[in-house]
Amino acid sequence: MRRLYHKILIIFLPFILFYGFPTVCLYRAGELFSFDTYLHPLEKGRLFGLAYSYYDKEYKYYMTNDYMRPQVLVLGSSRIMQVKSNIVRPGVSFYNAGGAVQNVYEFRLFLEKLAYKPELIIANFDQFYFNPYYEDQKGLFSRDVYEKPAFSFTKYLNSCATFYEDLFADKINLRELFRSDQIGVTAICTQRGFTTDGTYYDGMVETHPEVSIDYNFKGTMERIRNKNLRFQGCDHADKSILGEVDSLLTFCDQHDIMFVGFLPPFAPKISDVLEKDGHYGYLNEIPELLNEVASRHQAVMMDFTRYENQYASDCFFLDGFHGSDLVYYAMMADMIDSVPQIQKYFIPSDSIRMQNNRQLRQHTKYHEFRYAF
Amino acid sequence: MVVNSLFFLLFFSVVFVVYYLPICRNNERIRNGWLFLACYFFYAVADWKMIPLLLGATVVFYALGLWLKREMVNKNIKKASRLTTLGVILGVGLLLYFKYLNFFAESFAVLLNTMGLSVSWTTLNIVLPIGVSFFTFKLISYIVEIHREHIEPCNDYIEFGTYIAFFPTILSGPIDRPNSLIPQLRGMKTFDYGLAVDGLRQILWGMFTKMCIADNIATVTDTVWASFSSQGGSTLIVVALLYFIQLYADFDGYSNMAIGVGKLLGIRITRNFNHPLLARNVAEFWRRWHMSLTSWITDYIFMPLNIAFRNYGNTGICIACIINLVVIGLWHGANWTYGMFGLYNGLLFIPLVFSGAFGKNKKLKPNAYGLPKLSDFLKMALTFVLVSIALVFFRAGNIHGAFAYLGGFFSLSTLSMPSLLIGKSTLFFILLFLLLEWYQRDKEHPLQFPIHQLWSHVLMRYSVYWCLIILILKYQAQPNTFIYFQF
Repeated sequence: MRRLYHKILIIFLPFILFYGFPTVCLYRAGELFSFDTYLHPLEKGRLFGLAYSYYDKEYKYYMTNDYMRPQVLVLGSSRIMQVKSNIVRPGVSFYNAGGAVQNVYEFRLFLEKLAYKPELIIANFDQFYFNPYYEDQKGLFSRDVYEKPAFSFTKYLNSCATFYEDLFADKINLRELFRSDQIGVTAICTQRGFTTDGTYYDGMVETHPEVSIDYNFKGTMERIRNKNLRFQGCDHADKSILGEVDSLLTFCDQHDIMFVGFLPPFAPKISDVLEKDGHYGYLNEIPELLNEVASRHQAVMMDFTRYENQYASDCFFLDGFHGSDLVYYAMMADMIDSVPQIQKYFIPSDSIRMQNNRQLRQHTKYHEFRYAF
Repeated sequence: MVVNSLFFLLFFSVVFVVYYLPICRNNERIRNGWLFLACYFFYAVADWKMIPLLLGATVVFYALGLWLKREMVNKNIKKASRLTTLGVILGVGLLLYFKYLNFFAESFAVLLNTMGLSVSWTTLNIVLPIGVSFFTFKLISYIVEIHREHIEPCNDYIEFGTYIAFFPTILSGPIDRPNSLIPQLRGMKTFDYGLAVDGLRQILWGMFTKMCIADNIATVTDTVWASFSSQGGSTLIVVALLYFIQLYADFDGYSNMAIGVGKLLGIRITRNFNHPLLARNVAEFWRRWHMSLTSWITDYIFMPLNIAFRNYGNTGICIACIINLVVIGLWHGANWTYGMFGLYNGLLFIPLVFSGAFGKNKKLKPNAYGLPKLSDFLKMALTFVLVSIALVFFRAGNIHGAFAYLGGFFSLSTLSMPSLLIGKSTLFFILLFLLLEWYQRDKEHPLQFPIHQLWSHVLMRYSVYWCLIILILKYQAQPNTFIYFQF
């Protein structure tokens, strides 16, 4: 019997050693906890950014439903994650569930599953949703999307192997890993992650834009050249999606939810390229189609696809299609001016613009960023 | 609780350690009591609501076995026969009620409706107990074997309960016969190092075939089957062939793990597969495939049928074969696709019966290069294709879907290259699997190393273990439940 135990030990010892080290590191970084452990409001200054698990959708759903239950719910993809809570009036509850939705179908799934209903929804409709070739629209659609993720041993093993790759690629600072109190390797090593109000802090990209893979929009340009990864060429918008938009707005009407949707901005340089390219005709059709659907409901649709002003120039974009907080402050100020029904939830638009000016002057990061262009 | 899960590892570690404690090793009752508890815990994790059913059925058959024996001792042959018939009816009734009642009633209603008689059937909400197909067969064979005087009935309920609910086999077999398993639960138990190591090797091989081969192929076949109407003919053909390997790797993987777990407990479980990919005709395939089921059906259905039809010569054998195969098919589930799967296989027996190849069992001999002879290889390839076609019925959701899938073979797109996203690693694993299937054909599993100086070195053997563990860790696909769990 003892011989058998020895044999098993000898066979598994190399694996125990191999997996032991990353297990300790990942556990210390908060990567290996059960999903429920992550579900609590974050303290100010603390970031939640896992590197080896993708729980964004579930995290946002359960935070919204179980903890935040805001009056003003910001809902959509990563392109709405910069709408911050400091634009709402005192006493109005707010949460940014950006990242919870990756296609048109998931809006309604998310809302139907919510045990409470918000008063106002600010949502972004990424232009890609109306592109029939968009890879995340139907192919990845699943009704189980907001189920609590269970621990996966396979994922754990893969995480350990990837941890070594990242360690040897110098992406991981072991000393920081054991010192920091942020949650997740991304939050610890790149200062990126979700904050208290659900917005995403893009730490290193904001302070050191040169580290971004989309520095100078190289990545986005390549996508446009290759016509892939959300930038597939398409002449006409997919009208079949409008049926789902209609269902979503009907649902909001039935539950007395004010819905304000918008098409998020591209960096001006990217807008120019898309226009010149000639293969993105569908972008021009979307606003009209959305407005037509919205006119049948108590909803408002706004188009910021081409958005350029002193706060929304190329240097204020994190990448080709993600604006920084300055872009979104400016956009929200314009939205508040255009939609009087939502003004009771937000501080006056002039205050937002003043705040933006102040930030523009004070924040050196954007001036540094500007040199990139 | 899946056998290749962390939870099972934990569960089994506890079972194993306690099982070999001196108090258990030396006392049959305590050991079986512990195993009995473990079996019921295992079943409860899978489906706790069905524990009363399993427990109740075990009590009834245990009592029936004792009663039957008493009548036989008293030379009350008629009553003994009646009791045996009652046992068979109860076993079959259990299976019919839980598995087939809705199916047959609905089919009957459809049949009457097509004849112009308006009949409606409200589908009953019957939950299928996990492993019902496996444990009812054990219950039936227990009664029949007592009647045939092949075994003595168990005097110990715990011992009998452990045999019926034996955790490595209750969910997906193999279907152990009482005369092979029950005696192994008796007497003192000493730890057999050789058997335990062989069991561990078998578990390792089973995990490899399940996690690296079956699950990786499943990602391809599931995708194609989900949208087969829009797939090209060549893709459909390749997927049909791949599904055969997937099913074999999946079920053989599970069987190897179950047998390996049994060996760790010092219990030899019936072998379920004997290299079916090397079968040279369909009859040989069924002698090598799911052997515990086919031998059960052969003993309790085919042999009596064969005797009943003995006056009809080859035609009688054919009829017996077809009925046998249809029963095997329908055993898998309440769907006409399984019936069709059985019927198709049964029809393939007709030329074999009339040509005299049906009962022949020639040993495979390699050619001068150690490879199969060309004639054998061609026969194996033909059998592989024929069985793959049968498995289209097995895999399809309904008969219409199966014929639509097969219809897809005959399109212009069959001449084009198949569009499959199968990884190179998976192709390599399949090749390795096929090669070992041939070279280790005389062994129970490929990790029973040949007697050769090369393999006598410990480092050589450990290298194989490490390689396999690394391959499992690196290339395992998203875990899928075992295909045979549904049966």
